[in-house]
Amino acid sequence: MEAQGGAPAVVERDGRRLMKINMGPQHPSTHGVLRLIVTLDGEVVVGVEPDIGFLHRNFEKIVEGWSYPGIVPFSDRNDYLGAITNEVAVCLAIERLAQIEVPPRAVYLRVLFCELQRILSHILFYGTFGLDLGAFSPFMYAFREREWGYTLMEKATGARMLYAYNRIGGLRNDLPDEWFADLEKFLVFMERQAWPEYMGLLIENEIFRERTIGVGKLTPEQAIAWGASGPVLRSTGVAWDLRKAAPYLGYERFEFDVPVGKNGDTYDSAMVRMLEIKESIRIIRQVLKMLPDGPVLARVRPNLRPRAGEYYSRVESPRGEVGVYLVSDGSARPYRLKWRAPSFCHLQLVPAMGGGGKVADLIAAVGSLDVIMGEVDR
Amino acid sequence: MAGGKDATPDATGRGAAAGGNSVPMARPADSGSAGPTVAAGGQDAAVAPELPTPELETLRQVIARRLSHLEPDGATVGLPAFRVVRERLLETARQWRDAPEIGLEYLSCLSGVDYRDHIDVVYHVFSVAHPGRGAVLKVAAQKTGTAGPWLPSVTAVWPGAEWHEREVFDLLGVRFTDHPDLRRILLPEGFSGGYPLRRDFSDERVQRERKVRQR
Amino acid sequence: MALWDRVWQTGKSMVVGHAITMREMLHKPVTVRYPEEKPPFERGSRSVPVLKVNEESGRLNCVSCGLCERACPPSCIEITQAMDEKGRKKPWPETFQLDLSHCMVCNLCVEACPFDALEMADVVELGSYQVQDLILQKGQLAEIWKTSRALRVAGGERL
Repeated sequence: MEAQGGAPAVVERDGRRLMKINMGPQHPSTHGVLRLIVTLDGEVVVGVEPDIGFLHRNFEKIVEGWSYPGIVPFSDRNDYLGAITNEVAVCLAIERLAQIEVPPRAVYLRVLFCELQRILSHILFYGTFGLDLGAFSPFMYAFREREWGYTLMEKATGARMLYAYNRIGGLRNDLPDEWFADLEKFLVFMERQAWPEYMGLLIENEIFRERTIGVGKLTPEQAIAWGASGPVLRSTGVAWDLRKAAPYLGYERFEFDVPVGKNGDTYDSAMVRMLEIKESIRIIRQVLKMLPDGPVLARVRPNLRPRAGEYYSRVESPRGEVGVYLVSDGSARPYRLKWRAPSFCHLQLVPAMGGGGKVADLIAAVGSLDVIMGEVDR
Repeated sequence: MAGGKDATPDATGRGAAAGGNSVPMARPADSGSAGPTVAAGGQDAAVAPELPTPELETLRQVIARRLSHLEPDGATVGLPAFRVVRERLLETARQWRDAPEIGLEYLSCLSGVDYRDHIDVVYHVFSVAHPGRGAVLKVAAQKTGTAGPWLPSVTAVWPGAEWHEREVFDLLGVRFTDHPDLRRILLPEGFSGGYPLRRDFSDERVQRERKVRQR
Repeated sequence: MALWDRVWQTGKSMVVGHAITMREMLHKPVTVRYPEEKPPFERGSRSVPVLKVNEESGRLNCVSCGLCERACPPSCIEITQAMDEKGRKKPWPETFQLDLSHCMVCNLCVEACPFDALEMADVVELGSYQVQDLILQKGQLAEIWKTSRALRVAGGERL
């Protein structure tokens, strides 16, 4: 590959002098160890080629040698900003094959944590997306609430990012009553103060709008064909949300809207995420009203052996559709576990989104995908 | 409520002792379980498992009626599953996407599973226009033959399969013909230790010494 | 018109942005200067599993049954059973090693322990320059338990 080593490689094509340079893997604006091999004509991006695998640890092979309870905390490491949704995806697959009934309180609390996780992940997206575009202050505001949210998570689960909170058959522990009061304070602050501040600082800012409207455009056909999901797909105007399309955890019981964009550009994708924060708050409020009493963990055999068979569980993570394809042969370890990562599919869209624009627009496009390299490389 | 001692899972049982050191293998299911065996790869698909919604049941009947060359596959829970021969994979994929009463245009997941004698490639496809629809397509790539396991690429039908197929090529060694850019994706370019997700893979690379013994 | 609209929008953005940041100046800073100033741990927050010491006898609670060893997904615990001269098993561990470099802080070992011998510590500053230093022996684990206990007692009942 020409772009290896330090010096940029110059290639001649159609009488133009094109430059091939590396963006990443250690580049502050690429969200982890993503390497983009960019072909430039001056400042115009002629071609982009994502190169991944720097974080590869073969999650899928490792878990083939592990018993089922250990897979759940390990799955946290895939999408480390949506750890709860990962755990839920794995647990749903295992529980379905092992035919375990999860207590209702645990189901409601799982919904609560999935939505809290979505809020926290979108807050981080807001901060880093601003940072990608050169706006530094929003990042500070985003981290103010993120810290608060992570402290809430720490109070509930004992950890700040990699919670290991879900167990097969429910949750690790119940929550103290004062935790719900703290959560309510956080939600009120998010709604009344933080969210309007986010909008005023960044999303409604004219510079931000100039930088993002019309940049990194996707059509709905493109997005569906390339397997995009989550906010990226919804920004193109397709109201596709697994919580509505294929409800899991009883999401059909809750009332919420699916925000969609119009143009499929980076502005819409950011806007969809901002509106999703509000919808998540709405869902959490409903969970708090409906939350039943009772145990949070079903009794599960310690040496769990699900029946032989295959199941594909899909969960709407903050980034899109997380899929777990579990093949069990009836033994205590999975025969095969395939992880469908939304970011992996989204990265295929980078050439379509970033090609033809300026370098700065490419960064906006990659930022708006909100990729997590932990789940891309697995 | 706060003291979660009674909420901690009962992992103290004796059953854990049976966990053992065995490497997971494709072996027949416990005699007590109702599910079909995995190793059979859908050959014993006489009894198809029940589907959760009537829409999926309709879809299964539509596919079975329209595409008689597909064999129903019994191992999958919750989705209609079919097995196709390699020669008719591309044609079937086209029909699944384009036939209006099937209309599965969204490829969610493409996975490879090694069954020692062959590698199954499994396509999980859904429909965005009709959210209730989804189905599983399986195709076997035999390991025999000089060329090794190979399959036609479905990137012409579902472009999003491109990286998924590269991943299956990288980790399981299935070649996809007519793929636009079949290269390694997750492993480094010079990797020569075999295919990690195959059952017979053993890691020959130099390992960091582990002070604590591994089970 | 379009130009004036853009000028108006830009001006509005600047005013709104400055108003928000100015208002924040009046608040107390939320930043904690970490190495000098250590924020308290939340009750129940966990770092690594450590061995509990019985208050009365001063011995470890661990009887070396090996359940945690089996429950540990990345197998980072190694226990050897204590034996007397005649080769009979004794109910305490001869060695108990924990490889911190592999531990993923999942709490499964604590849940597996029927003898209340393990507990998650809330000591996080365990970094080291050598990988070998990350393998903790039973004495070290009991030491960490003692230092983490103060924090836990101050925080109220344990989770």
